[in-house]
Amino acid sequence: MGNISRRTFLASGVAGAGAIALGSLAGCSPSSTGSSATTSEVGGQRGGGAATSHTQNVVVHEADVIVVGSGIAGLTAARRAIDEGATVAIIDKGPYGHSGASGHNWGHSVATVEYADPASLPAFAAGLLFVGDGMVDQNYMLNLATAWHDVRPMLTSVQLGSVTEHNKEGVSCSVVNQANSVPENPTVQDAGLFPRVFARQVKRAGAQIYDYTYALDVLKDPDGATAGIAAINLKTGEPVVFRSRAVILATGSFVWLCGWNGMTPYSHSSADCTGDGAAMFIRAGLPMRDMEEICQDNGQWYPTGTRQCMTGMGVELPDHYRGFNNNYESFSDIITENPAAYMNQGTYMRLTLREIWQGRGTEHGGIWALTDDLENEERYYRPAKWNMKRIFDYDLPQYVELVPQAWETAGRPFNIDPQTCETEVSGLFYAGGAPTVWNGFVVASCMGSAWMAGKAAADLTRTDERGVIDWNQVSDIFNEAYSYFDNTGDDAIRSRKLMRNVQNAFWDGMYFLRDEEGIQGTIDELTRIQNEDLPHMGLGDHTPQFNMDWRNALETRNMVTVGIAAAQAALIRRETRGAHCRTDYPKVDNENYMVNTKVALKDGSWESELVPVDDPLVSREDLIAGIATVGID
Amino acid sequence: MADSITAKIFRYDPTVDEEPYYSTYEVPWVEDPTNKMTGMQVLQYIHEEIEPIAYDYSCISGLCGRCSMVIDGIPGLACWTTLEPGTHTFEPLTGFPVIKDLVVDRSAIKERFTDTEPYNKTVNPISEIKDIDYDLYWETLERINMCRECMSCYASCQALQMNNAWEKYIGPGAMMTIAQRYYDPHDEANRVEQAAFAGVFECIQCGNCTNVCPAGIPVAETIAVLQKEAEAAGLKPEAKSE
Ligand SMILES: Cc1cc2nc3c(=O)[nH]c(=O)nc-3n(C[C@H](O)[C@H](O)[C@H](O)COP(=O)(O)OP(=O)(O)OC[C@H]3O[C@@H](n4cnc5c(N)ncnc54)[C@H](O)[C@@H]3O)c2cc1C
Ligand code: SF4
Ligand code: SF4
Ligand code: FES
Repeated sequence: MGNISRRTFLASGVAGAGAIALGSLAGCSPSSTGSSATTSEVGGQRGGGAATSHTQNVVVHEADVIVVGSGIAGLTAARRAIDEGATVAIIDKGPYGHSGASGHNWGHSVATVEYADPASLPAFAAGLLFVGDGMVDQNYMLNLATAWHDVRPMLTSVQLGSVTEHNKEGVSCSVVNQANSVPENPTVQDAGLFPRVFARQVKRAGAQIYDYTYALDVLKDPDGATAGIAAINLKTGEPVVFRSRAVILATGSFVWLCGWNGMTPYSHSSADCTGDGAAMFIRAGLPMRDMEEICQDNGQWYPTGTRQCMTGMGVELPDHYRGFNNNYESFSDIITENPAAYMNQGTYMRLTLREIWQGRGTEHGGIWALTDDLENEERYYRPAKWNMKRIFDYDLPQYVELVPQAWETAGRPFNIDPQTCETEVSGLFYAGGAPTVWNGFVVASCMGSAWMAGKAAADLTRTDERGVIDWNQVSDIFNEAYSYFDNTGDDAIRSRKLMRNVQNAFWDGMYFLRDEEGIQGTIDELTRIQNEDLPHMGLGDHTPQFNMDWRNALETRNMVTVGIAAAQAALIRRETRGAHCRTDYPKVDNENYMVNTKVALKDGSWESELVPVDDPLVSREDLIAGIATVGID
Repeated sequence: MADSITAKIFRYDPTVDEEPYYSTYEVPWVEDPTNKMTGMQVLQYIHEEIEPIAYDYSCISGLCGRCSMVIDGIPGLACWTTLEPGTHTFEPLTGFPVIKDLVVDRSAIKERFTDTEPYNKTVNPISEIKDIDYDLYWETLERINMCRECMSCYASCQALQMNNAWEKYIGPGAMMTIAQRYYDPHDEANRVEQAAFAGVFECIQCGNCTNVCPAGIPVAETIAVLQKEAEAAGLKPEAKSE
């Protein structure tokens, strides 16, 4: 199995409908040759045959709207854009419908406002500001609340084929909880939203699906507007360009950065969540908001061979907010006793971390969960006792050790249009779970933001011509991506290994309990890796077809960028808030930190600042007075 | 510590290898309270510590369905396959084209799921969620919700693999999306007829699909119900009647 040079794979079989052009890259320079729409210059020699004139053909696809990411956010954006009459291409680096957090395809819990009177939505949005510890862009939240209402998460999910949760009497939870809901709180709690039914429907509705296709970067036309996406078909290793006036980045979180325990990271989300979209936003020059907020939950520790994921195998409890320290004392009673004031994931996270930091944690740095009576609740019994017994022949003990793990991140572009989710780069949109990742409205946020972005992206293509592809930019992007095949010297570091080093460097200082020295250590080490190690990153596998090391190399590069950004943000929030706990500043400091963090990469150096929250809906004073100050002290 | 796993792994890179071959690796045993190791643990060890091999995964928790393959002759999820010390063989999913090593192309069969029109076909949009019996929900419908499209059932299906009914029979997994709508009180289409035309009588009730399904879906049993209903509706082909 000889090494092959990147210059020997030139195939350009063109598939898919819609307008297709064939660009071509000679020696990765813009002078173009060939324009056949099927194949041209197929140089198939493997094993280092005569490198055919440094020519790489690039397949170009076009669509009105390009959606990167086929999680629940990307799928919702695609549904909306199709509904608005746009042609849509979806790119995903993993298999369609099986990737990212959404690809776990378990029946998500959703707090929905689809049954609410629209007049109640501003009050609902205002309430969320408190549950979100104040850090929420208020105008955006107001629009988001309306979009959640309109996107109808549960009824749509049922229409598309989910069978949602029903109680012992056979009645849907939506119906039961709707009957019990009160005007002050229009949310209805339900469970059983399965992302895969959305994937199937979007495919049937006509989206062009390009899965196992890794988006490298956003292309801009000469006037700075979005022109498309440069990507690699991972199944074959071929370069692909997607040309479009509107690109929606719905690439999910960056929790795969969170440390490496020898089998998996300290996260129960997907291996796909490497922050590629965040890195693309940063490279596009956009400042980022609240990058330090990495949402935590407590996950299963055993069995070693499975990920500690609460939904396939693992422990989640009907009484989610009830944990026990190493003395088997319940430490979260304030939540259960006063849910109106304290019921949010942020408070529970901080209470958990307080126990651990103050030395009352378990052997592996976690807490205990009590699994009594799980049998009575199928939803919690199945992933825990039933699957453990069925798959591992393992009897779950009464107390199970859970350790803190990351599952979502709140970082997103600092300035997005609150009605369209468009960033400061014209035609570049954001869709995802921010800003409500630690309060249990995540899927709804993903869908709401995507609902707005899908419409706005489709609208844009009605008025604007598609941008011009800058082939110099394209060749720079591909040259860098393919360069990892050339790093074969003795000093080459395998990408897989480097990814582990990056994860560990990040988690050393950016674990949920942080202090100044540790965070600075993460910045220093990631900067060192960026300068000294990344230039030597190489691959252990040398053929382009389904090359996991190559994908990992591209991801590692992004993880370094995103990791530094998150640490820069963590450094300047010198207090404890949301999911961010500082042992050197253990209190929630409403007086001084009713702010968002803002970090940006400008001409190769990082800039960071604190920006007071905008307050058109609820005043700063009211937030300061009203936000619960449960710190870790 | 004396214990270990000897893993025989199917290797094939169609872009350079004339034909597939097997590589053998020694993987140290890892002790934990379950006294088991998973197939995924073995693959991760080889890939991280010995040399790159191609396999796909995302959740390592039995949910995404990406790590399905054949271990010791049985199709299933690598992350949910438990192993004892000794020799174990890892091969790609039977009947699917190999992309590299243990990674196969499942897209053609995935189309079959989508083609069943798996959503609720209703004359008017659904505006309220209807009642569903608790047992039906947890024992059948909720399990079909959790179908991982892992294709383990296709790799084990006698009708497909032995009788070669690929053209006539949509296969067990996609038949479950039809069954889900058959049981769903919201759906207003004739799913029994659909099952008949999707080849439900090609199923010979060998039961393999139920045995391998990681979601615990009673696949064969559910197909038997559809067969009965289709027969009652006069939709059983004559050739199959003896
Ligand atoms: C175990 C678990 C349980 C959860 N439970 C709940 C719950 O009950 N309720 C709730 O509201 N939320 C829950 N969440 C959170 C929720 O699942 C996520 O917030 C949501 O699924 C995120 O959707 P998304 O579309 O933003 O991102 P994802 O689903 O992660 O999708 C991002 C997609 O982008 C793709 N992608 C990334 N980078 C690239 C690239 N460079 N090129 C091409 N494609 C790329 C990925 O492959 C992926 O398919 C849970 C999360 C986890 C992990
Ligand atoms: S029971 Fe029927 S569908 Fe299932 S594996 Fe056997 S022949 Fe195939
Ligand atoms: S029915 Fe079961 S075995 Fe078949 S694809 Fe679905 S989860 Fe896999
Ligand atoms: S890795 Fe997701 S099912 Fe095994």
